[in-house]
Parts: sequence; C-alpha cells; structure tokens
Amino acid sequence: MPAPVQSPPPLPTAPPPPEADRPSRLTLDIEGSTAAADADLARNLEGIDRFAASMPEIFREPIRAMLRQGAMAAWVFDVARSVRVTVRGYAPPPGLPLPKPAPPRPPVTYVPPPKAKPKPKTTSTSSDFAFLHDAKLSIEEKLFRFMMAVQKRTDRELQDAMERYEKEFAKSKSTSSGGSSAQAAKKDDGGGLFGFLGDVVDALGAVCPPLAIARSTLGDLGLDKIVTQLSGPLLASFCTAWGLPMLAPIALQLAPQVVQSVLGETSSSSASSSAASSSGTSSSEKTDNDERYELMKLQRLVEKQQQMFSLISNMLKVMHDTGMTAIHNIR
Amino acid sequence: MLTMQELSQGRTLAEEQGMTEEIGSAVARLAAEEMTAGRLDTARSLLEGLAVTNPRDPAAWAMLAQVERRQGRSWTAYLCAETAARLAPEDEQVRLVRAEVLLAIPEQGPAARAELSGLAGLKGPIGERARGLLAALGPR
Repeated sequence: MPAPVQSPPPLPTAPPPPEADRPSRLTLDIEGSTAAADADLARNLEGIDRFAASMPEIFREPIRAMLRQGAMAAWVFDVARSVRVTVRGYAPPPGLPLPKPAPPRPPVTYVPPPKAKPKPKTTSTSSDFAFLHDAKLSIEEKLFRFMMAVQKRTDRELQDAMERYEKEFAKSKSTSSGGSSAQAAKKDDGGGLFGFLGDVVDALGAVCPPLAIARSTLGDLGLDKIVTQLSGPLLASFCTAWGLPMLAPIALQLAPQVVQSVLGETSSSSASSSAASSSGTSSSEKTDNDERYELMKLQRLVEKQQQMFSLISNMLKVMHDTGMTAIHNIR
Repeated sequence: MLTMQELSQGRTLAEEQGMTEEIGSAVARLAAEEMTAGRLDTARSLLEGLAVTNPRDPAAWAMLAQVERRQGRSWTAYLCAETAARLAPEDEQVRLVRAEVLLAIPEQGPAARAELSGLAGLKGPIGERARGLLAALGPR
C-alpha cells in the first residue's frame, strides 16, 4: 500500500522553494522512512549556509541559491533511490544524447563507497629539526639553524621542480624555438576598440590566471565574451576541472570583481567583432597549460623561500636590536 | 564546510557533502528532463550546481554546454564543452556535444565538421545524429 507523497522537511533558514520550482512530475511511492534523507538534507543545507557564509558577500546569495537547489534535488533522489519512481508525461528523449542510462565514466571524484580513511602520511623530517629540542642552543642559534633547515628543504624542492621542468618542457621548447618568435610577432596585432579590449583581457589574464587558461583554450575571440557570462563559482570549478585547483580560490574571489570593474563598460561593444583566426584546442595548448602550471609552482617555491628569509631575518634583527638597546641603556 | 585551502587542493563539495556518484547522475537526469521540457533556466541552475559541486564530472559540463548553446551563449558553451572534452576526451557523447557547440560558432565550422566525421562511423544514435548533421551541412 503506497503511502502518500511526503513533502521535503522545512529548511533551517529559508522557506522551501515555491511549488513550481520543485520537480513536480515525480510520483514517489514511499515504502521506507525518509528520516535519513531528511537528516542528510538538513546537514547539507547547514553546510551550504556555512560555505556560503565564508564567501565574499557578492557571491553569497547566488552560490547559496544554487547549492540549495542542488541539495533539494539530491534529497528527492535520495528518497527515490529506495523506492519506485515514476516520471509521468515524458517519452524518453529521442535526439538528446545525454544522459545515457549507464554512461561509462572516467573516474570522478564523488565519494567512494564507505571505507576506512587512510591515515595521514607522516614525514620523517623531524631529524632535520632535532636541534629545536637541544637545551644547549640559544634561541638565536635555533632560529638560524631553523632557517638553514627550511632553506635546505626548499632548495631541494626547487631543484626537483626545475629538473622536472627541464625534463618535460625545456627539451621540446629547444626543438621548436623557431615557431615562438612568429607567435610573439603575432601577439600584438590589434589597435582600435577591439585591440583595447584585447589589452584589457591581457591584463585580466595576468591578474587572474584562470582567464589566461580560458584564453589559451578559446583563442583571442572568446574570452571577452565569456568573462561576463561565467559566475565566480563556475570559474573556480573550471580551474579544478582543468587540473589547477590551486587557482580555484583566486577565481572564486578575484575574477568576477575584476571582470565587472574592468569590463563592465566595454563588454557590450565586443560582440560585433569577428576575426578569422581561431585555433581549436590542440596538444600544444595543453602542453602550454602544463608548462605554465610548472612555472607557477617554481614561482611559489621561490616566494616561499623569500618569505622564510624575510621572516627569520626580521626576527633576528628585532632580537639584535632589543639586545643592543639594553646594552646602550647600560652605557 | 569546504575551506579555501581544501578547495585549492582539489577537494570537491561532493566529497565534503558525502554526495555519491549515483546522486550526481540523478541530478543530471533531472536536469536533462528540465532541458527536454524547455525549462532551460532551471536546468542551467541544476547543472551549474552540479558542476560546482563536482567539477570533475564530465557529464555536468557537457550538459551545461548544451544548455548554454540553447540559450545562445555560444562561447560559454564552448568553454564548458572543452572542459568536458578535457575530462573525457574519448567519450562519444561528449564529443557529439562538443561538435554541436562548435557548429554554433561560425569560425569553428571546420573543427565541428572534423569532429562529426570522426563520429559518423559509429553505430547507434550518436553515429546517426552525426551523419544527420553532416548531411544537413552538405558538401564542403
């Protein structure tokens, strides 16, 4: 005996979406309890609210609305998983290629079936820092040795990264150096309004690396049209999908603000332009992205060294100054 | 809660929220129905949510590309289709979606034709659609 259709549980902070927005064409014959799904939904909504609250204000509402909609859909299917679901009024889509019933997917990053969590790896660098527990050493000596140990480690990382770069990119670059000058000559070709837009987008690409990646994918034509259409969260997801998750927070926080402030006035005029040259994606572009990624890693390592140096040298200087002040006072 | 650090390490909201692949497929199916029914804005919201929740799911990007194309945002559709193609370069359906998106961009006509030619030899609905599109395009 099928039970009547149950409505979703009340949302913690906002009223449920209007009836028109719900997947109203589903008839659910509920045989079991929906308590687990309800609890999941409440947990998800709470997580979404927390996540949205951590965003800059400009994204807060859009991302909350978007994720809540997803969570509601997930609730429906969480319930429907264990019961019979009948979709009324629709023939199977004939010409629509997606989604297929059981698509052979590449590995995706949904949560795998429950299994024991792997223990976090412990790095055995404690021997490098054993001097920290040496009671005979002064704090200055410890600081100095600490700086040396960290420097040694980052030097090693930097060396590894450079060797990796040399192995993967430097050789292929040396064989195809003839083409790069032609590319460089091709780069600055624009004047007028579209040339100005190109310069603006160049600047955006420098400030926001995801846009530079998008440019390498789309060529010169598409970026100025696309940047005004993508939301920050989607740009961030785009970075993750392209194997550059470290750029996702930048895209999330920076891209829309920069785009809005810089392109807000000029985007309307860009639609009229149409140039002839536009290259699709190719393996060389993929290599360019990988190369850029490796270079960014190198840059990050160098920046890390600089930070460590300035931190430790500032600390040593302050300690020295403090000691000298005391000595001057005694004199 | 997904912190910025976790986000930068490639952790997805789907992992954080315990969302399984089955649920992801179900949401995609729901979005496909919305798309079939012509409710493109709803489908777009669902698919954007899905792509944000798990950016490594090619189906979400491919379907989002379809919605964007139908809403006239060809370049956004192109970016989404390229992302799906990068995630699943061998998937025939992703390739078909990419070809359809390329067709919407005049400059990409040759690339679309090449992609469709590659798919035309396949059996089943994908091959049929590719052959149909090629026939509609006519000879070069």
